[in-house]
Amino acid sequence: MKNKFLLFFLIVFLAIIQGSGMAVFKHSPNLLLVSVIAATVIFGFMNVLGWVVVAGIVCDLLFFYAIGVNVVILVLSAYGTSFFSKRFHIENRGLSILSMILLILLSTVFFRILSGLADSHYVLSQIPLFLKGIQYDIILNCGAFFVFFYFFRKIGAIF
Amino acid sequence: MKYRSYIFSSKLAKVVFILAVFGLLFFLNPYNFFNPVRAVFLWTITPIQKITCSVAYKVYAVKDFFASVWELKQENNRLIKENLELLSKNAKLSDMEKENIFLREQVNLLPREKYTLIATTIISRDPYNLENWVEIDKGEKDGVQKEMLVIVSNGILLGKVAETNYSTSKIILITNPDSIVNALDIKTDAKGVLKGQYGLGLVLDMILPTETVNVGDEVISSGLGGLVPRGLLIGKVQEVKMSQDKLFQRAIVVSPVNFSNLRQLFVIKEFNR
Repeated sequence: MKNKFLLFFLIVFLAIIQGSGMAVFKHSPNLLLVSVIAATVIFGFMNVLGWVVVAGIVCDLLFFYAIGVNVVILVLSAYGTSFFSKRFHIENRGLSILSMILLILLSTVFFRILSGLADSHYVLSQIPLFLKGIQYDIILNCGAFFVFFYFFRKIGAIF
Repeated sequence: MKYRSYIFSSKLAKVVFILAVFGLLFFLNPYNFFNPVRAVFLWTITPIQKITCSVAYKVYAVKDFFASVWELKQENNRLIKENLELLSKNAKLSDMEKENIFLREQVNLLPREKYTLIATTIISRDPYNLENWVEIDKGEKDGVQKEMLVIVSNGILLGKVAETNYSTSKIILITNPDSIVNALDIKTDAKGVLKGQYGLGLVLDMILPTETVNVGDEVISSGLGGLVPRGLLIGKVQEVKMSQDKLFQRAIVVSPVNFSNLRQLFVIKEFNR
């Protein structure tokens, strides 16, 4: 029970840091997305699914989205991560690090396009605009991913 | 039976179920239904947002400090502030000059727009770098209402209030494609409709081909429709081109405001129409 409260506050805290702290900078890592991906790789999809839904709802409430948008995006990202990591045996070695970077790259692009589309009432012609400056976000997301990855590995069976 | 329970406990089935429920919620869009929940949630976390935001600005300032030589930074900040003031003053003066000529012919002159302002601070912003919206620390309890306009230093238009909660409000910036403002070129009087482009800038669209728009001209709100007062500075024309169907001209407008490190804003509570 204590852990559940702690996790909920961690999610809310990450969302606040994202919206009120990181957003001051021109480019910032997507903390909730990378933490969801890292948690899925470490703890497994089924163990984190509930928390991914909670994280999505918190994002929707905090970032003025209609309820459901971030839930759908984060659940799909987590499912994609689980699907991908099973097939490529993501671990912290050699080529596996490249797989992780590829995973972050795909998730960042996917997240940007879906959140942009939800924001623009599904105008497909706007997609190139959502991808502006995405290279910086990918680099920052990779850095943040490894921080979360090692953090989750250290704290072990929190879920 | 066993097979059925296997299907419903499988990973894919759970994902499909969650997507169906939240997808439906989103498409049926009971946005207002969740507004009380959002309001309570935002009210609870506003103090933490304020602290986080002020820490972030301090970190940003430190980063800024190391990124530039001290004197240059000071000078730069002073010049930016001065430039913003001069741009806005210049826009107002140009507009006033024209207005004066017009008013000489009129009787019963009305006073120029006078604004009642509410000073606010940004506590949160669009986290996905699309520069769509910001959240301010004033809400219904402070008299902020939907559709009120938001400006920065001396009359530079920034956006409008899109949503209000008890103690906070969401502002959609003019760079948001949902934001549409009637605008005109100060020098040539060419009129058009100003739209946002996801943080990439602004486009003054629907300008008739017979009208002239020059690079470097200032663009202000035209006051058409009465929702936005005339004379609020929007930006400078950077490029002019024809629309794809060749029926109208389109001008790319650059705002003098750096949206990413804005902190203080003013909500226009009242203005003389």
